[in-house]
Amino acid sequence: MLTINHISKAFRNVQALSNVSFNVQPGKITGLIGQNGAGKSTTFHSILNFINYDGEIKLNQQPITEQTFDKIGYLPEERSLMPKLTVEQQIIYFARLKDQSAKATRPKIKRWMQKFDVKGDLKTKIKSLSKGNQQKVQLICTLIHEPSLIILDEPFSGLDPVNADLLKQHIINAKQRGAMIIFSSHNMNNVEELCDNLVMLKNGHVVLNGTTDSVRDQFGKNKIYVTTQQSSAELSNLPHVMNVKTLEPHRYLLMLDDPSAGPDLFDRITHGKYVEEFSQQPPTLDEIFRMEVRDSNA
Amino acid sequence: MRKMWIVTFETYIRQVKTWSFALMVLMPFILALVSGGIGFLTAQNSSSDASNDSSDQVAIISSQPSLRQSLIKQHRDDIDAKVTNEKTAQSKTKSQDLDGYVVLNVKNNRITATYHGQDQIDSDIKSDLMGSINQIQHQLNLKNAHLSINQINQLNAQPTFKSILNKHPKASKTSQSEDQSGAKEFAFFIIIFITYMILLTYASVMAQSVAEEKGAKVIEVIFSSTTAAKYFLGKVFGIMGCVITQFLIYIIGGGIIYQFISRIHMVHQFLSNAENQRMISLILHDVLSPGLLFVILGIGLYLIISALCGALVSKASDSAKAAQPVVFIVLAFFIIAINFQSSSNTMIPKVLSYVPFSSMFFMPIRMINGHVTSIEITISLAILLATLIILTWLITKIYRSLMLQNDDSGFFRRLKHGIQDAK
Repeated sequence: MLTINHISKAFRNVQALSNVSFNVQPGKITGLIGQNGAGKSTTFHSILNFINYDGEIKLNQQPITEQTFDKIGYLPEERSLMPKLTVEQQIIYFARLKDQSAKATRPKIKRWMQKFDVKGDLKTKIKSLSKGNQQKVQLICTLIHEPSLIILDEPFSGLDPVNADLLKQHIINAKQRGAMIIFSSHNMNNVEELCDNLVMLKNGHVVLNGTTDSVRDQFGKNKIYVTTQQSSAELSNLPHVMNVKTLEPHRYLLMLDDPSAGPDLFDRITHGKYVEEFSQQPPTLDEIFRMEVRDSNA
Repeated sequence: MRKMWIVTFETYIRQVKTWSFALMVLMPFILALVSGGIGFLTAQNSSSDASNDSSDQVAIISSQPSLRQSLIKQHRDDIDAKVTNEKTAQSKTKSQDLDGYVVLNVKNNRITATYHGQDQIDSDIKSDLMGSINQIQHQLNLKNAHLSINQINQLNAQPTFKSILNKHPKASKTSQSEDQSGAKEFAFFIIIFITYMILLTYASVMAQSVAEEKGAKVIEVIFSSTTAAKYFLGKVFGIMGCVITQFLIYIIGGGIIYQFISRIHMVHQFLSNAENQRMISLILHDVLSPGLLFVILGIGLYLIISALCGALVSKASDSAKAAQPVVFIVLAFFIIAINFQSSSNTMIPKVLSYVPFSSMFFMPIRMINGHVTSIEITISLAILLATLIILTWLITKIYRSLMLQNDDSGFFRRLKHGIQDAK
């Protein structure tokens, strides 16, 4: 298990992380979400010892050292390949740095290239591959040594929907073999689809942490989405409505202090007439993300 | 350590497999072949010209056989001894078998030499002949002056020129002949130019290689696999391997070329000359001295500084500029060293022979010129070695933060931030 315990990091005058704690369990996928600059990459850099930090990070109860690196597969946010190398040279170089022999790696490369449907062969130079195919080669470099901890910083950027599905399948495969997976993404649909756990950072602080369901439950039962001609002020005066957020013109999110007030509110809002939308449900992660971000900007 | 050697191997292989490396290594051989070829063709041309023209000889015609024989004896190659009379000389000159002929007359104890030919007499032949004729005239003058032996000795007295060298009291006691001085000068230029060329080339290669990997963001993946210190040392050793490879190619290639050219008659003659052999061994002795240690350590020192400069570049497009600070320093010391070649025992070279970044230029010069004691050499070497070790240690401490920072500030600000972030 990856344990992150009360880590903090300041860059000169900027506090990048404040007392961040969460765990990544084997066979589970953790999504790390947050706005740009929230501290996601800094968290990854702390895990990988790229930066010094206050606090403690342990992998399987051991501090992360050079020996631990061999168990980690890391995909950086920006593409990180050597343009002049061939696909084979690139993958073997990175695999050797993960303590894999060239002899053992070579036969695997073709298989992985087929799995990811890379357009090119072993001798193709990295620079002559398309951006998407470079991304796939980078993913192969990250996964080919079958790491037990996989860190993916924005893995879906640059991939079309078909290839994104391909990647999701490989992430699920890695999960099934018991790997710990943590990835960051701005695409909440991918997070919702894949993640068992969720950590949301805001200005370096953890604002949400738990299983995806529990996070949603925190918001879920006491939210009503309604599209009505009534004003925000009118809706605010209804019983058990704690707060009204305008999501779009005439579309509101009502926050309730008691989820059982739903049927009563339905009657009060509809008055037996047609309304475009009345839905009592947990919010999507995307909505939670937007709400949290708006709260911080407000 | 294994990962450090993986980086070393990768750096080395990627460099030696490039066309630019092959071209750089082969360039001296290509230049030698081209200049050798041009020299050979020129020699061929001139020899065929010579055989087409006359034999570059003159005839000596004189009514005084002793005078004629004396000149023939001294200048066999320039004089056609078979031509004894003016008629034959005229005919051979006309048919261009001779350049011309010199008629020697002695009248009133004065020798007169008159040249007859289609063109001016060859200046070398003229000066050789005039030198001998002067000597004969001088002897004739002495004879006719009826001087005593004492007077003759007085007249023959020559001025003397002595060299008193004020050498360092503890320096090598061997006397320095003109040959030795020439050999030292040659050895100095060999060392200084090789050092300069290697530094200029590999400082750029080193800085560019690091800067490219930093710019391509590969460094994050590498640092998720190994430490910055191992990466840094791996890069330095990889480039050092390229330097050694280049040297080995030159030594082996030089050996092979030597085997071939030593069979050429002219080269064989040159090499079998005892004076030339002595000169070559003196040069080799000065080049392959402990001064070479300064060069090797100095190259190591500049390579680690180049790796530091490469880490201070923020964009891959700036990689070509990464080595500029190192290049400027090397250029400055090279120019100073050239200027102080003949006065290496003055204050500036003395001081610079102890400064780590310049001792590789100045200490070998002072050693070649015999201006330093072994204690001074040891002290300078110890300073250089200590600087190399301390700088390597310091850079490994800050290398991770330098390589991972991407701010667009200036060179020194990035260095400052790198040091701050490493804490």
